[in-house]
Amino acid sequence: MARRLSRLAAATAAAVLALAGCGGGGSGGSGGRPAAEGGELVFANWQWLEPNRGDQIWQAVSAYQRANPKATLKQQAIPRGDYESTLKTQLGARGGPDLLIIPDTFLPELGDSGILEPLDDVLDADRRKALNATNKGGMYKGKQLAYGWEVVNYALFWNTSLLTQAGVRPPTDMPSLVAAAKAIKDRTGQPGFAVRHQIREETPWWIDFANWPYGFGGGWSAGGKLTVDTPENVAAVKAYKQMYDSGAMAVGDDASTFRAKFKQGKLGMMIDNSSALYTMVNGNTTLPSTGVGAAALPFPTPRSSQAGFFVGVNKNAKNKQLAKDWIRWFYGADAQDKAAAALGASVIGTDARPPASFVTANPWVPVFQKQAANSAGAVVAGFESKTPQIRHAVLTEIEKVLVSGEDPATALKRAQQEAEKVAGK
Amino acid sequence: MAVDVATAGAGLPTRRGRGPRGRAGHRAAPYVFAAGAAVYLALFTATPLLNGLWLSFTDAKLLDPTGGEFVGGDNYGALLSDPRFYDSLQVTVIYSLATVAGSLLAGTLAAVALNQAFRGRALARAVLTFPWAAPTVAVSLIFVWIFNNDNGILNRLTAAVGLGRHGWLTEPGWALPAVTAVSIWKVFPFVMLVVLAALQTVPQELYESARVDGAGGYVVFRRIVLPHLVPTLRVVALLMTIWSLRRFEIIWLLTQGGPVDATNTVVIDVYREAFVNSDLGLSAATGAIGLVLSGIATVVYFVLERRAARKEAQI
Repeated sequence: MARRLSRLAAATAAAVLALAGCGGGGSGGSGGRPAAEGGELVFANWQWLEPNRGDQIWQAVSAYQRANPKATLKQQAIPRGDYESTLKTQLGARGGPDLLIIPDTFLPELGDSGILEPLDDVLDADRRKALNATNKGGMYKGKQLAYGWEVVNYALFWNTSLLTQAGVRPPTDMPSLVAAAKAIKDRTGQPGFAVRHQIREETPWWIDFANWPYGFGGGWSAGGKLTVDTPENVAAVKAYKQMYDSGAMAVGDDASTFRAKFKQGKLGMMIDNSSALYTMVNGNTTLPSTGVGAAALPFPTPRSSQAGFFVGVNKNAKNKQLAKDWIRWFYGADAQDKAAAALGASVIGTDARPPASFVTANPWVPVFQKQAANSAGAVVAGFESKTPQIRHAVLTEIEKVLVSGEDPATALKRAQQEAEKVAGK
Repeated sequence: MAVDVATAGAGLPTRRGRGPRGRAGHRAAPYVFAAGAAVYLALFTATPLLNGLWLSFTDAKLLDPTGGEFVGGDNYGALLSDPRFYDSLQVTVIYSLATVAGSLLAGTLAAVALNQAFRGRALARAVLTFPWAAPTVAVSLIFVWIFNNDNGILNRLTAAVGLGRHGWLTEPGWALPAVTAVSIWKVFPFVMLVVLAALQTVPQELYESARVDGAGGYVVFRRIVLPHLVPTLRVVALLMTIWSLRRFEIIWLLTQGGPVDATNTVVIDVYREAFVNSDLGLSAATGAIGLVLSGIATVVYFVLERRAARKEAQI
């Protein structure tokens, strides 16, 4: 019996390996060393991995080393899909990079946890004066926790050659979008349209998908209440489903797959952001930038989603003073001009613009820049820190509409109830 | 050179001839040998496990893992009152049973085949071991392409033979079978290697005498090979069950639990709660229930083994 018990205990010990434990702790550095003494600045950003554009941005930010020769900058490149979870693990352990790019959907969580160094007193009066409205998004609960890095806007864009081959004109509304996608598929054999549509890309899908409810006059909240199941949102989901069912959409492709197809000239149209488009056409000889057309989203209203990104300082940074000095340097006029040139079609934290030659070489840029006036972020206003849970509840129901044929109105009603439950209201 | 068995052990200490110090040392030996493993387990398994269990009674967040406050059984209450959790449990059980059954069947059949003498056997063994050796991340990404709706080779094949195209990873009805199939493909070589080793311990004389008695291939397998394999298969089944209950990478990389939660297992919930929703407390509670599942599998294994031992004793 004792032997059997000991064997049972041994096997149970093997089974407990199934449960992973979590640890934490460790105190952060004081970051008290003066910036003039230099040191190493670790800078986290997924954009370091973007072909061509990543190098350009790195050149722009690491020019700081000329202003402060004792400083060195080091990349921490994390793939976009794992960015938040990787940083949360590091920051929760009181470690992590000195400087980090913060997606707008991530800022509330970081703000609530007190993990970001307030930056209200970092910039002098001249630099503060140069900041534009995008920096309001870096404020949380009255504190400037981050400054504007870039706001990327969305538009409909297309491969002009494929549209010509298919004999269709750029669409201006939903019926013409679906018809054009079908024509491209039928006449060229290539998918006519692509957009994110799967829960396995949940975080970016949420930002991309927001184009549809916003474009149909809806949204996720108003007046402190969730508005998931409004008629406008139902209409948006119906339109989205119509496109999904058209047989012309690249169903099953994640963004990296359909972007690769577009880059190779094997995809007709997309709804995506300016940053993605620039990465696809930059240095591309198969589909050069001049071979792409763009227009505002073909939806009933001019509103659209935007992805806002900010740059902040880790409160537990090893070189906090140096990181703040970098922020001070970066929001100077010279650095902003270089950043504007590197970030391309994005709206950055000041009114610095990319050079005219950039716009000439990329004729679609003004379409995205114009969209800034009508775009809004995907954080659920009034429910900022609950956005991830609301996002999962809503996208799970939308996925049911797409793949299980659920009625959009019923699905959004369920999503509304679930979102209210997870939001605690 | 012949060895005199009667004197071969001469010079070695015997139980009767050992002094008090020798006896104490003999008694201490198992503890000394086990101490290293025990310390390791205490540090790297028991401590995190207990920490994880403690977290399940707190509202700790990923960005402040040590700052959680005690909330009693709230996390367990929230979990057990959520219908989606039961869906995850159901998916976990179906996925695990299918993966274990499939890999045992495929692994055993492959082992029996590879136990025969034929030309190219070494190459066949190497090829069939490949899925186990290949990195899971790379394999999963390759399968994402194989299953791609428009360009995937699987849809090209099914379309070519008139079976149409399917959303292998995008339709709820196909996603779980697809993920299970990839899992079986990945793990069956482990079963194959273990069973192959067990097959090689079956005495050759048993095969020969069975053939002399006129037994066919099926009868030889059923009456001679299988009884030899059963204890091995039982242990392998236990391991496969525990591994299937906690498998993460393949499912996450192929579907992240979708579409419509069709492949959402308990482990995916553990990850999502911890690293997407940052709710370490709820995640730890989900993990604790996963631990109970593994414990149940272990208990079932021992009950079955006890029954088998009793049967053997009766024979």
